[in-house]
Amino acid sequence: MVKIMAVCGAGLGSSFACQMAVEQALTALGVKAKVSHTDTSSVSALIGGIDIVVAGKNYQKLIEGKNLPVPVIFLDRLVDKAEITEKLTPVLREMGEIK
Amino acid sequence: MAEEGTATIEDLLKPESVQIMDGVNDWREAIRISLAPLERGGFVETRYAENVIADTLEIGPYYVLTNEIALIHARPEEGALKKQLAVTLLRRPVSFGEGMDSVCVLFALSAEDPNSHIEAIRLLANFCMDEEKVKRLIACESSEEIYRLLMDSTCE
Repeated sequence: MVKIMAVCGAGLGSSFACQMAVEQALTALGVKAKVSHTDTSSVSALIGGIDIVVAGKNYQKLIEGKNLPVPVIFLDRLVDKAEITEKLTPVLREMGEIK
Repeated sequence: MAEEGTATIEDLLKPESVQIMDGVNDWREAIRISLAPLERGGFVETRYAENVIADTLEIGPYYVLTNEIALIHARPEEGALKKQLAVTLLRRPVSFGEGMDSVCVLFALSAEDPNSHIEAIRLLANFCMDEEKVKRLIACESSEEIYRLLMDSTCE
């Protein structure tokens, strides 16, 4: 089961909105996954066991500076299932999660 | 994730916090106007809106959820006093930058922490992903209609 973490920066739980969109996109793709969420200050500490990180593109510089050992997908719109699907698909394909 | 027991949209939104505006001059005005009901009600300090603007200048608009919808918010320590939600519908969309020029629904949120309103976030996210509901919101002709739509959609 692929483990994905949604990350945002403002500490108000908007990463949870993103998590829900990711969950729905994955269901539509037929991919079994466990999705969680956190903020940018905690992502390094919580990266163990995570396969993919999904984040708002506004945090790209910040997150790239953390050198996370997993692919990171950056979104323009946090709850846009079409964008999430488009960006997750190649990564999931490479991991063998979809054909 | 246990969402029961946390604040819902009904808990966080008063009818008088829903407003419809013709348009705004720019994204800064959009941010200030969207937060005005929260400021009037004492749910955020004036610096909250200014912090959203400052953070936007630093990292870009970090709150765009879909083509039409933004969730205007800052970190709790940036001037949030109590959790609350406001909704602004713009008749003429505002641009938050390239590729984000169709925003016409502004949810404005303040909260003291990320968790005590997580049910509201869940309900909001579901609403935003329902294209039919979003179309209906944009077509609403009064703030009362918007309030009813949100209450009916999110009281499950």
